[in-house]
Amino acid sequence: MINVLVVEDDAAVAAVILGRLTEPDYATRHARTGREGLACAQAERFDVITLDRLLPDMDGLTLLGRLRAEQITTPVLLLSSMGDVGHRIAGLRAGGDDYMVKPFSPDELAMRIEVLLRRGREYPADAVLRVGGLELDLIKRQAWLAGEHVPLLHKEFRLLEFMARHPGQTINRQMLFEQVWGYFFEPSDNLINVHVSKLRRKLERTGHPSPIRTIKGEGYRLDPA
Amino acid sequence: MFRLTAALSVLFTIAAVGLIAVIATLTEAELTARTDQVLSHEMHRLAGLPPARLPAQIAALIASSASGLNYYALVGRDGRTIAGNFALNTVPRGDGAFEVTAGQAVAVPLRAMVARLPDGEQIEVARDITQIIDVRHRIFAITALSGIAVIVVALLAGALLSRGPLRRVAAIRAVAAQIAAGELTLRMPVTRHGDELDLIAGMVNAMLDEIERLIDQVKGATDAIAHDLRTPLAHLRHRLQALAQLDGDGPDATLAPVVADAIVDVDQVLRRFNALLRISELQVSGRQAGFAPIDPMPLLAEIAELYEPLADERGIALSLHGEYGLVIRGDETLLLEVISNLVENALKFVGEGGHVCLSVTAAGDRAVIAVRDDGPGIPQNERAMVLGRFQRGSAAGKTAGMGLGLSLVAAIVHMHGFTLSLDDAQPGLIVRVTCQRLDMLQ
Repeated sequence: MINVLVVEDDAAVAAVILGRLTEPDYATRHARTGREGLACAQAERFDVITLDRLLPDMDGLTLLGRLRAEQITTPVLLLSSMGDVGHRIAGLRAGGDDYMVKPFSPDELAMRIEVLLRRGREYPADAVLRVGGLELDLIKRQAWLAGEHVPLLHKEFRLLEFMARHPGQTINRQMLFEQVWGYFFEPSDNLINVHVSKLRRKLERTGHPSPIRTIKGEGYRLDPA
Repeated sequence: MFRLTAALSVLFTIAAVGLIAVIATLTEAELTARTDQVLSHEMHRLAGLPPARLPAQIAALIASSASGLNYYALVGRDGRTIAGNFALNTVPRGDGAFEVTAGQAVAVPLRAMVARLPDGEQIEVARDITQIIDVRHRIFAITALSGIAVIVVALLAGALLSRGPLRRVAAIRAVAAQIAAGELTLRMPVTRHGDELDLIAGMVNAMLDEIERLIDQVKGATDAIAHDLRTPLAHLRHRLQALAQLDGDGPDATLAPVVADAIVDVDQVLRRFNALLRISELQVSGRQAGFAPIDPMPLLAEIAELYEPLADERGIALSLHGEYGLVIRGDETLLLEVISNLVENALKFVGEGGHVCLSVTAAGDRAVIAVRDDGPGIPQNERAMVLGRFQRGSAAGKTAGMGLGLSLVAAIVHMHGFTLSLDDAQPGLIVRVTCQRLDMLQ
């Protein structure tokens, strides 16, 4: 079970977070102010903290600075309505481990928490990722669908790998753009659609249906089976 | 300022020279009139004598007058000189005195007068006017020299006097250029002199205060609306999302696509608000924390690779030209966004079979990043307008877009101190971002 401290003053946003991070996978603790959040983080050990950037009594970055000054190294996912690159950089420089812009998809939040927890873990040298009929050789950067080889370019492989690491979860376009291309500006929907369509066509050339689904208004999902 | 001083100097010189010329003319006229009076008096005296006495009288006058000053002659009907110390070769028609140049009759210049007697003989009287001619020459020389001297002194004085005001004008110009480039917080320098320049600078500053206040008011209102609406919209999106994820006990299944469409619409509005706030933040922040030396060519190559599938799908040829190794200073993430926006725009407006070319070239100490297309282009009178928020060119028609992309590009380019230009690519549009090269500075 993953212990998450949710520091959020906005009741509606808190409800979305707490509604997604439920048992049996998650145990959550909700703090409505910065002081309460700091007290919780000092008193208990959490696996991840989600921290609102703007709190009524304390700036989120100040709270983050206090945590880091007290050697509390729990991964922190900053949540903010300020999505400019400058704000993201400031948040990450202040000691944040990831930055999400509101509004966000609850699935994306869960996914980012997973990514934070996985960070730093090395994959075994012969790692092969298998999701349903899809098989990815992470060392040789090769892909197969139902045993048929799928020739992919570098970015296409990274796109498929990222989706395969989060099977069954809806991934929005912005997150793909950040995680696969490393860009933090907002791409046009068409741009990511075209890349995913191209990948899908390559997968379908094997004679088998592509496991990538489009979720309207949300993004994409790789079906696990 | 200097030109005004120079013009005043020339006017002053002309006035001074004119005054000297008038004095010279009047002086010469006065001296000539006096000479003519003397000649007339002499002539009157001689003409009143009996003709038989004239040779003797002329000889007496020559003997009594100072050597080389007065000249007399009695010329017979046959043109021979009966008596006298000179002879006029030619005599102009008409009465009155006339001038005879040096060497014509005698070695010196003369003022002469001729009277014809009833018996056909003629009396000629003349007077040396070397002094008058000398005065004339001297006055001319004085006029020329004093004119030159006045011009030189006036120009020097003008240059010296205008140095201070020129320095202030240069300072005002420099500030005005920065204000024109968007630094609306700057103000014209005002000294303690309280002169006309300070008066104008004060008026411009008051005008700028008012412009800044109005812009802040308009922008503040827009930003406040965007900011305040973002939170309830975010809540709305979360609720729609929760609705979409309800299983079984949720609303009628036919509502699912309606909810999905509503989420897309809310995302559109949020995207607009985010872009709007982002432009405002870029315009005011001027942040340079992420600035570093960058070679633009790899950025262009990245963007070309990113957009190639989209261009392929639309049947548009996307090409890349340029040189590696040019170095500029900027924020890599923001410059990627600029190029991405420009390519996205070009691909949006170029039809199937069209071309989009990305390039970076050296132009002296500048590097020019350009995105060129052969689409419909933007009419010249709309090029400045499309850089504003929510502004779209007439060629945009029903093409999807918020009218914020170029505004964002302009804000980022301005933040870097680069220049942005939109020109006719004949056919199509060429957008250039001109940047200072660091490798040339070193």
